[in-house]
Amino acid sequence: MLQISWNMKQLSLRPGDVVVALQLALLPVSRLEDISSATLRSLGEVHNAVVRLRSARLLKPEAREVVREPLLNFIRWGVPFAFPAVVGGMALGVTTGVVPSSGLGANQSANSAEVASSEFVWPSSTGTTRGQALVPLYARAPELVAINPALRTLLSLVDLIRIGGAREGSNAIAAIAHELTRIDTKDGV
Amino acid sequence: MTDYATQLLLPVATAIRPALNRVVFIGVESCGDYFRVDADRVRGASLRHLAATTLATVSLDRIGAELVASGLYRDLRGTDEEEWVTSTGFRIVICGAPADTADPIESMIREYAVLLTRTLALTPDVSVRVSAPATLFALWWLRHAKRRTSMSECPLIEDIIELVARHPALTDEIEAVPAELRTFIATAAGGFLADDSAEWVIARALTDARLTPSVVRPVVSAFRRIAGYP
Repeated sequence: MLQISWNMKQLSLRPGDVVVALQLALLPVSRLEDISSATLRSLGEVHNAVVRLRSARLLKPEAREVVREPLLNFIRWGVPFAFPAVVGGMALGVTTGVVPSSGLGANQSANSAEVASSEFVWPSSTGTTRGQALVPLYARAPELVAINPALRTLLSLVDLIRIGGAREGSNAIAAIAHELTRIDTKDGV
Repeated sequence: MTDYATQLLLPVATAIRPALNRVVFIGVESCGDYFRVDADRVRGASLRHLAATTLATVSLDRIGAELVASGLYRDLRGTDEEEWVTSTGFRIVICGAPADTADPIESMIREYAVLLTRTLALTPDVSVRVSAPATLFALWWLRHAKRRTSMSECPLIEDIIELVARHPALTDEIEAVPAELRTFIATAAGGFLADDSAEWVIARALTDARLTPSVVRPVVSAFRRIAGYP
């Protein structure tokens, strides 16, 4: 009879792994150090995230590169259930859960994004927006405003999928795909 | 009027002005005046990305000629609806007139949607006709049924939930509509409640339900009243 070895365990993705995956979608085949500095996560966390993402087949087996369609499917259909939005009371923080004016002008960053009718923020002492608190996928997400606006925009859209309904979900995933395609085009990929 | 509605409806209404009296607005973006201001928030909506949805009162071909003359171009052409774009980039969906469909139920609902309307003044000079809330309920359910998408992934279902949650007079207004329309709406509400994901869909549509799950209950009760359940 087949027995499960004592050292076998079920791997599962963690919320911060989505951040690493999105960063790899922005800059494929990055070095771990670069991902670490771009996402404000430690080298060890990034390494473990890459291992988990690869086991989930969201990364190519031999390269540190995301497989885009499964990643988009996971974000649209998996993330809202695996990492449900945790909301709190009113707080000061960084705006999240908004669609940049894509479709009408997707080249704007989330800083100039349309604020949704119900506005959510990542609580942060450095934030300037008041809204309902939404726990970010990882603790240092609010700091991305200054260092990685492109990743922050994508995380804001992921939050829109987590907190929104069908219309917001389809708008947000289209905006994420659009943002990634725009980067491809810009890089001449 | 909410900002998003003004931002979308006014340029669309201005652009199609020669044909404005040949359409009735039937989208959630035109319902701002129906929604109670202090009601529970519904969705973290990005309604800015909606197209203005209308129902034609005459044949699409006849309206099309007028829209072309007004500088719009046709972007999509379906069997029963068309999508047009104004010169400033705003989109307008025009569904076929009551006579354009062979389905008697659909034709009946469209007839009432064109007949039962309210006037919405966008500016002192520009007014549009918006279909009554009861007919919007029926129209949106009908469009959902035609799309054959799942309940949880249909934005029209969320529009219906928003209407039920934020327009408290809806139940009484449905009581007042003609019997054939009322029967359809009651059947639709019953069909919605019969789906086991109904409460989940309502909870997701109501933004505040994450912190206060009890906000779902009054909406379920309203659906039950509309369905005619005891």
